[in-house]
Amino acid sequence: MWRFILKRLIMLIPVLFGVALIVYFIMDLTPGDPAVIIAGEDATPEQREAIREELGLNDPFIVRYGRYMFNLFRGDMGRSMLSKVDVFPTYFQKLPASLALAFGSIIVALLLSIPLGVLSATHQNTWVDTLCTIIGMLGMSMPNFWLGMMLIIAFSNKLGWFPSGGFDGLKSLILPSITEGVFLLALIMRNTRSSMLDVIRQDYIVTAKAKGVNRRGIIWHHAFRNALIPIITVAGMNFAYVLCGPVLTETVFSWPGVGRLVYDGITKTDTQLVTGCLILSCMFVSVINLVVDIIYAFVDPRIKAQYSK
Amino acid sequence: MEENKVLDEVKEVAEDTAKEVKDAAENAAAEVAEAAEKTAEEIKDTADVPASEQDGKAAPEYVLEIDDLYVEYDTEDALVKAVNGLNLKLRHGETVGLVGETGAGKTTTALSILRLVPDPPGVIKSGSIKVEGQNVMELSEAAMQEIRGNDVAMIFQDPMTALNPVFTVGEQIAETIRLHTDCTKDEADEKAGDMLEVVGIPRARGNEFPHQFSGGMKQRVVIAIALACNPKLLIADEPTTALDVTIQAQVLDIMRGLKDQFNTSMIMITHDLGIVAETCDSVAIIYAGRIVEYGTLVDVFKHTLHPYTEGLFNSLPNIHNRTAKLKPIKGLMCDPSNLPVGCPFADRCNYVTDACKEKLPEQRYVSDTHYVCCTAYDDPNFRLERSKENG
Amino acid sequence: MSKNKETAAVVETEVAKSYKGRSQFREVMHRLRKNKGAMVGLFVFAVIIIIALLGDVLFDYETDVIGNNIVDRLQSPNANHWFGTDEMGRDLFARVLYGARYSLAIGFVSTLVSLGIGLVLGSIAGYKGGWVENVIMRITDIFYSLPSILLAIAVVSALGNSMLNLMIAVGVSNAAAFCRVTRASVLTERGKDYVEAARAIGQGEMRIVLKHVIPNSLSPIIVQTTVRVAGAIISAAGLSFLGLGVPLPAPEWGSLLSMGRGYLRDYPYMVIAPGLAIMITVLAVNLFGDGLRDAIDPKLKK
Repeated sequence: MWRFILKRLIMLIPVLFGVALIVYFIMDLTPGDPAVIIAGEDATPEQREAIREELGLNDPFIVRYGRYMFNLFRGDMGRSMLSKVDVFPTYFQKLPASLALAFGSIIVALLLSIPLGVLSATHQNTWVDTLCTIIGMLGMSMPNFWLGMMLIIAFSNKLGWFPSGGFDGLKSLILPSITEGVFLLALIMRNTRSSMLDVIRQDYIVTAKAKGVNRRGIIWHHAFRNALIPIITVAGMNFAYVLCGPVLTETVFSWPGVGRLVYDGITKTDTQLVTGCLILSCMFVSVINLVVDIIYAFVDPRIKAQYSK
Repeated sequence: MEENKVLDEVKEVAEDTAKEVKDAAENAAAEVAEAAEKTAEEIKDTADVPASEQDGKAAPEYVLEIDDLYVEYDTEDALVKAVNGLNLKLRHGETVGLVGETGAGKTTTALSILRLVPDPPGVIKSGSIKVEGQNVMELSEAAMQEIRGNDVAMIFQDPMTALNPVFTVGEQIAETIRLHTDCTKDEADEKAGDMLEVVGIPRARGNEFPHQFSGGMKQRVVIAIALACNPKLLIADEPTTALDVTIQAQVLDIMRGLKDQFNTSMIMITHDLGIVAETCDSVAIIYAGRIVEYGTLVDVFKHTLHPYTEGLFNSLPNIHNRTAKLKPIKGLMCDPSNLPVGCPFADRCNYVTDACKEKLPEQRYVSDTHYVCCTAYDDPNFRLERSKENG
Repeated sequence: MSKNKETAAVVETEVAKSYKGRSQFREVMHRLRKNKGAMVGLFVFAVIIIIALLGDVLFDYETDVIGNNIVDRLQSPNANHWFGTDEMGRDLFARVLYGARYSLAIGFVSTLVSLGIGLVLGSIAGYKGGWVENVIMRITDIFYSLPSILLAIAVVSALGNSMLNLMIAVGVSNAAAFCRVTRASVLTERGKDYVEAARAIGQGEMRIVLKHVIPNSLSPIIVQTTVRVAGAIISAAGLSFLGLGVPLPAPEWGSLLSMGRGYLRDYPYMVIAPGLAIMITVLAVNLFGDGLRDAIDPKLKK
């Protein structure tokens, strides 16, 4: 198991390398000039030139990338070209809000999606199933930034129950969590349903029935654990996504998360900031994926056996 | 020290076995007593078929009575009539072989006894199934759960998929025990270990998962699960089909030994006549959801009556005459969603007459133990080719 | 349940394929037609396509869609303006209906871009194996580990704001998913006996890939395509919402939402209609996609 984890962590290194290269390259293509933004519209060409020289923007791409990677290996992520603050603390300053939103939305999603998905599967082709299918469909089809605005209109502008934006305590977390959570809810519910339907048809479920296991035991003891793998996969993937990229929800709720930070960085051609943040995000995503893989091993002994090979 | 422990264990097992033997003896005694109380009418009823040859002491009471069973699968495309008026009776300790080709309704019959026909699309249309005189059709789901795995247990065809991959085999055996006996978790685990040893697997392997076992070993585990609660009736649905030939013999040996040890009745579902000859007391040949010939092993093998049974024998290679050509049964089994009015075998039968296609043939007893459903026997002189040869 | 049945089923489908030729396709169409959800989805989607195509007939772009009419500004929905008017007095009904063409075009074209990239790279990776596969899949991993919306934002920023670039951005950011699905599917098919059989009778590699492997791997790819069209419509709207992509004053649904957002407190109706339009379109695609998946892979349903 430890070898498996180590192997995965080592495999992560070239991916991060690649992420850095691709992001750095795309950012380099971006036409904006940080020097203009830093110095302001009124600055003289000489002032701009000085800033460019100071930031090393005049060097060819390969030199700049090489320098960046060299610093990265020494543990220096560089600093934002605009704010002059190191990327690392900037990122971690935004992380709590992102984490809160990620946990909030996954809780909203899991609380409802799993019971509904199981219910839907065990009552296949009944009205319960139809209702769940419709909920799932709507949830999947709703643009969440629009849902966010609808929630603001209803619960904050009309009813005044929750703030319409900002990250300030539990109350402010509820609407964004629902906004992000609804899609997840729909997705996990649909996955739970199809996964359960798949498992319920397996021979070992008939074996369990033939043993005299009651309905509840069949569903929760025998079937559910076998159905968990695809559910965990989807949940993990989307947790990672919410952690590093829900730019739209963050925009709607003026949420001070990582997504907005990167977005602002992109629009202002802050290459260092964007590359650094995306590398960190990728690391988080990979760690979450690894955790998901480790959870697999606890759910399914066959997977555990594979890891030790 | 170590030796003492082993000795203790041996003693324990010996004690357990002794207890089990005693229990079995008590059970048997109780059954005899019960049988004695049977009304004269019932005895008369059952007098048609004498008790199995080898032991006269078995109670003349049936562990299983299936009466006029009809099962259908109502799918989107068609109404599949899987079982059509099936009758079957089984004594304590008796083994009946249920023989027929794929799609004849063997597995559906087996699942009906446990009321586990997948619903939807499966529906038990009519008929009664009595286990120990109790009609399972009338039982509540909870009462049914009491019977499953306890009075009636089932061994499934494919051991590869019959075990839950996420639980250890020990857990899976212990689960049955805990469901049906009043015992602690430790006691159940202990008993599960015993069961593993009974089927020839070291106790310690109970902590392993199904994927760590070979196919034959898995089937032993499945057998251990099925026998864990000393069921009165064991249904074995092609228990060896998915196994290697060498392993098949081992598994059959184990099953036979255990059946005798626990005096379990058994339905052996198979399409392998060799297995039937080895393990069964009586044979039921099933075709299109009906039993077309029923009799003791000798009846069916030596005095074959039904053309379909004859066809099955003819499809077997003859070890004494290696140059003889196989004579497969012509055609395919009739579509169970579109059964003919008359004998469903008529289209494939070498002896077919016009009368065959008009009416479903009824049970015709030729001896106390042997019946056939075939219109051809309306002619008292009719005999199959095979019977002519056998004399 | 049993290996026998499985083998029988395989034999049956193979026989069916060879004898009836197109019967598998017909089977799928038959099942699809029987699926109510899919048919509703298809119908709604067809209506939206017609609206998109007739946009220029129904409305005059210069006056109805982008023409300012300050006198009528910020009217709530009424008999003249069913969805109300925006801050420039433009009729939202006309703008939402006209906007259908943007969302549909972006949804389709960007999915085609992803499909093209993913199908080629995925099938090469799946069929070739070895270092080629390794290189392609590692690059895919890199793209996959970047949040797709951020990737799309970066690409649009790099290429500049335009509808075409938006399509490319959304397409590129989703290509990795296609690549993975295609590879997995091709990998499964490659291992099957009929490919071995084709090779045994001396067919060329290229022919095997194009005639055998890809057609047989198509099912999951088709399903993925419908899912991605829906996803692309939402992503595109999201990017426009952020002010990237289709330049103003074109009435792209995401841009309409973006403009409405400024008037959320006092004129909430402005964001309702465009959002509903997105939702209905995506819902229609999803319904159809679900039905298609069930039709292609009926074992999932019953």
